[in-house]
Amino acid sequence: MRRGRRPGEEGELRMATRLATLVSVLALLVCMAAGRPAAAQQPPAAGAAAIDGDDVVADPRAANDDQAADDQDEAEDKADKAEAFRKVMDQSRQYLLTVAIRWQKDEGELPDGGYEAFESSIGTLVENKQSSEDVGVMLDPAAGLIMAGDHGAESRFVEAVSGITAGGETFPLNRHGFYLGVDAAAYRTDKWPGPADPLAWVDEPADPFEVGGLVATLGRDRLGWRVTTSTFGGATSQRADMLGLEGLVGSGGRGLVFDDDGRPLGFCADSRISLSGSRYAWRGPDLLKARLMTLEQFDALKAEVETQVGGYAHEVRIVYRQPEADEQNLEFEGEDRASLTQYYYGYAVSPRRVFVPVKLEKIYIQRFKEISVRLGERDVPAKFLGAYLEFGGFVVEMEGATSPAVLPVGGPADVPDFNRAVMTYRHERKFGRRRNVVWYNRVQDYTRGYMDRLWPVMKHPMMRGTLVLDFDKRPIGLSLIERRLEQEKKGEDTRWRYYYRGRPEGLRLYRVDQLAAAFSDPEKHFDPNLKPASEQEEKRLVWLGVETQDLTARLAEMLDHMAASGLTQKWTRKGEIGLRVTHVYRDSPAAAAGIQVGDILLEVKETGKDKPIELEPSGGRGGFRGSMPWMMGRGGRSSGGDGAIDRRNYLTALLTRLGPGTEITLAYLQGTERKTHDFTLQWAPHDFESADKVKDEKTGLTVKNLTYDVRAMLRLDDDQPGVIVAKVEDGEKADIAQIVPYQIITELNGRPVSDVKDYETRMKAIQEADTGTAVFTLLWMGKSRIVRIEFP
Amino acid sequence: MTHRLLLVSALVLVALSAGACTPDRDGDDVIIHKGRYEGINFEAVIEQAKAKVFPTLVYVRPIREDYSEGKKRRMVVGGSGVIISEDGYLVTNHHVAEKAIEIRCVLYDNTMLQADLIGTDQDTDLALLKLKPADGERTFPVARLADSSRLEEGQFVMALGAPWGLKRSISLGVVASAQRYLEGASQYSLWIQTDASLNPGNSGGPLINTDGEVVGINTLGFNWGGDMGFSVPSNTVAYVIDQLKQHGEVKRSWTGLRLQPLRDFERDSFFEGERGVLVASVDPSSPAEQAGLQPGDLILSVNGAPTDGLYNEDLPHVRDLLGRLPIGEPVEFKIERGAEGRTLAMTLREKGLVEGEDLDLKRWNMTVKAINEHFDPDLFYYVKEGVYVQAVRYPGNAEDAGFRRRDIIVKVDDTPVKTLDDIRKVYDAVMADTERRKWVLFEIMRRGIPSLLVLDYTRDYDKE
Repeated sequence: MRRGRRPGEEGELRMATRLATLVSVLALLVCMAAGRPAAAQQPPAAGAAAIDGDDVVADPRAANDDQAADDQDEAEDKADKAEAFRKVMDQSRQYLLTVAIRWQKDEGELPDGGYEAFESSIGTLVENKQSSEDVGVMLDPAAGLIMAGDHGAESRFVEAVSGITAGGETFPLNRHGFYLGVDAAAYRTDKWPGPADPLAWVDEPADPFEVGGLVATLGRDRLGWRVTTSTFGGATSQRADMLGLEGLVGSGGRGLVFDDDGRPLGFCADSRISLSGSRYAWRGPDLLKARLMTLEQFDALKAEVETQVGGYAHEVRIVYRQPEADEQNLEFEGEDRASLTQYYYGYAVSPRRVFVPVKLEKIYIQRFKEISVRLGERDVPAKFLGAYLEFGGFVVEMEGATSPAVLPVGGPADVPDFNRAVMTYRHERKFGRRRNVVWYNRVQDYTRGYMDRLWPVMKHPMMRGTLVLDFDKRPIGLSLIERRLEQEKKGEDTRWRYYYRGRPEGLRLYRVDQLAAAFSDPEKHFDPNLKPASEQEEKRLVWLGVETQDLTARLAEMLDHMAASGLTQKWTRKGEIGLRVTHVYRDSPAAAAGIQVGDILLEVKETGKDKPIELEPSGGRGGFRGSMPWMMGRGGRSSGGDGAIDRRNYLTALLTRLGPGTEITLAYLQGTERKTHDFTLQWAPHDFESADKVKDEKTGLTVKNLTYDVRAMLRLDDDQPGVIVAKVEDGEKADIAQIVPYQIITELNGRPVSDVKDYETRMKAIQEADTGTAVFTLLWMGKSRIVRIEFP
Repeated sequence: MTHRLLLVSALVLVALSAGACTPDRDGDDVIIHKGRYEGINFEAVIEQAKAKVFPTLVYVRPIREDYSEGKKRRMVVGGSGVIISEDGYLVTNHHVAEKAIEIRCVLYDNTMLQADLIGTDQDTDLALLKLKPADGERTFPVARLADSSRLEEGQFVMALGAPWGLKRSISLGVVASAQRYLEGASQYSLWIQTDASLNPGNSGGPLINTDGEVVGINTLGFNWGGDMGFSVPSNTVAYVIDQLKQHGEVKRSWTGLRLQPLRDFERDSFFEGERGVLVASVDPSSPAEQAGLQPGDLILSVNGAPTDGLYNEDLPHVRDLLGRLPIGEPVEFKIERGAEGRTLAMTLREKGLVEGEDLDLKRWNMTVKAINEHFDPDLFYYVKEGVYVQAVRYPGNAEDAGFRRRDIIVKVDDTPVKTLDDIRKVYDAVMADTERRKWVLFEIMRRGIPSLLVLDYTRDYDKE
């Protein structure tokens, strides 16, 4: 046997040697299978010869002697390797088995990761009446203990489990439990048809770089069950570890690992092994000692976790403000999507404060009307404190009650290692009741995300708000949605990005120690833009005071053509960016800054930020953009769907997200010059949407103040008095009098109406009089009409 | 309103209309009744009345140039008419004869003749044609106009015409209302409502009484069918054809006033008083505004003639009165403002075109229309002059450029556009310039805000 270990030889070279010799062994096997004597027919593999050539160079003085010795070595090697392989096959045939799981559906609670994740894995197997098959190994024949790949699904989805030997013999199995440090499940049987003695594992500490040999696995094809071998390790898959721990090596697959002599080293359950064995167990003797969690033990632990976490996990009820008929309706994700009362689950982070790990869009938070926290059997009123800037979640504060326990944030700060099992705790609401689901998951990998942050990737997708604990019931982290402010500011609707195939993008496992500061001093971490707002506040916008049209490539080119220059195209990258100013409102910040019609707004840079936000047109045809919040109609005739000015456009949405008080620098093109101007963002005056309004029940009229945008659109004089009709209730006096929305009430009983306050006061006085009469002068498109309404 | 359907739909059935007619029976009037309700030979009544008017009935087939779907289109329309003079004057509807470039007529005896358009009046929807006999002089049978003011509800009437292009059809009914007010249809005249069946193609045909006299010109029907048709009363017809004969148009004076009645049951709006009519609106820069009239004023009389407008039904008469006032000389208005009486002098102007002209910008694939103070498309704010986009053809260059209906065109390249002529000249100049790049820059107003659009007319959609 040639186990040459020459001092001073490089590890890498050694690995290459192993690989090369193995290739020759495999080539030999191919020939044997064909029924011909391998030695006579097959020259040594080219790689092996080259390596041997290196050996020659290493000792030039005895070249001739060495040549003879090497030839002999080679022949011995071949015989040894054939013997080793025979041993590998024998042991594999005896100890490897397949664990076949037949799955079933369970319509009860949502599985981890949601139904979509379930459907993409188990669901398809159920539909196709297929079993999933995992390779396993008989660890302890006396106890009937089998280790196999861990599917990780909840027991309620498992219909039956059976084992199949390499010979195709089937025997019953029970799901016994799972390993904590190895990505493997444990099964038991009392009908093991194989040998009664356990595998004779090699029990010697190995040099991490000395591992070699074969991995044998069991599978089936058209011809039946078979053992397949592949080379283990390989220099190419050896990698430096980002976590500062020693290297991991990817193997050829899951299965039994043998050394070059065909002696069993261990079992690889996860297609990767930790060379030293210190990261997680894979060597046979270590596996026998590995910590196993039986399902019975786990059930008891789950109950304990539920009790313990239940002390600080609370249901938070939020009642949303009823939207007006013309307002955007919110879509909810909960069980009752139409209800304005929604239930969330949160964790007490201080006796009175509860953190709700849910990312809600601004408009949702703005519509918070009533908050309460369920403590035991009572609902404790709470108020909104703030929502976080960095991740999705908000804090509410209970009034007059305290949580019996608080989420401990001083737990293990170390990163859960690969394959290590963690416990997960999450809530859901089903059939109007709260349910807590405790299960386990594993860290599978790490990924680099937004801003180069490194995040653990879990083996099974997790739901938003899932609490991750170690098996000592200490919280490790929380699954939260990471906020990407740049994207939000640019107006990208990120909400739906998080629900792709049940594997939420942007969902990250935040360690509790990463969250500790955010919980202890939340005010410093809140986003000032996220807070409940009245209907009117919700609709307020931040403005510069311009109307714009999107630039297009064609328009940019045309403008340059007309001006005989190339500047527009130069600064707008041929119309890729840029908003052309079509109107500047009087007394606006833009007017004060000297911005004029025809200027092209290029980018907005927040003070202190590196990168500006480029103003990108929507890719439309250079027209107007946006939804149409109000439609013009007249005299019962609709004008056919052409909207009015929509103040909620790309630019105001962007500025509003940046928020009032934010310092920005606006870059724009004016004539031939690229200019910049600094602004401190400020609220726009009320526009039609947010204008003060008054509803008067007796006429069924809702009127609003004449705002700057309405005046611009209808080209009203600045001193034009009046209020604009916003809504007319069906069948009420105003409706009968054929008053329609967007007409302007200029006069009431012969005197001009200045604003809604004036209108309200005078209408009240008229209606309180015994025989009140209101004569309205209505204006539309320069023409008026007189309407007389009497109040009995 | 429905009259659009009346004329458009008639086109479809051209093929059906080719058929021979039986010649009318000649004969003396039959004694048909002794007392009013005694022994009426109803069939004879019908026969007699029909026999009088049938020979005067004409099937009118104008070829029209119209602007729709963003381009100029030529189409054949169909309607009816009735001869009112021996030298061949013929009454029909404005909506039958408008924009006609050629008018072909078929007489009762299947003679086919061309007719000239003498004049049309959009306000009352009437048009006057004159037949052009190929053989020079010819004497035509003539229908007599009745006095429509004596018409009563319940009287038998017949509608004659070519419904769906089916020549020489008769339907029978009664006068459902002799004084019908239809808001938005005909400012100056009330309507006769009848349950005699009126269909597309009946437009311009006579509604006759049992004496064989024309009491109205059939004009409107409901496109969902049923038994409600509307005719222009013969007294209005008499005035309008007289005007058309004299001037080729109906010259009306314009005050710029919009009126509303004192009592409006529909809108539950009631003002005190028994006299006068209410001023709803005064158009900007109109004679009424210059005279100092204000919304809310009550006009009691004009040049001594009372202008009482208690109900909607009274308004056409008052408008007609105002419309016939002398142009260019002061007229005395007695009004009441609050409790105070005043007398104002107003110098009226001529009303002019009711609706602006159209223009097809062919290669650009849109049609534009002149803005006119009497016609109020929904342009979001009040404008008196200019040009707006009447329609955008799909698919087409204007559509590609982002044009929409009702955009007001302010500028083309560097040329300001105020009138239809302005844009016509720009268009012709641009199209004549074969050297230039086929891009045009427009400044438009949309919803009160200006914007730029680039129209690329490199592509010729007509070739596709």
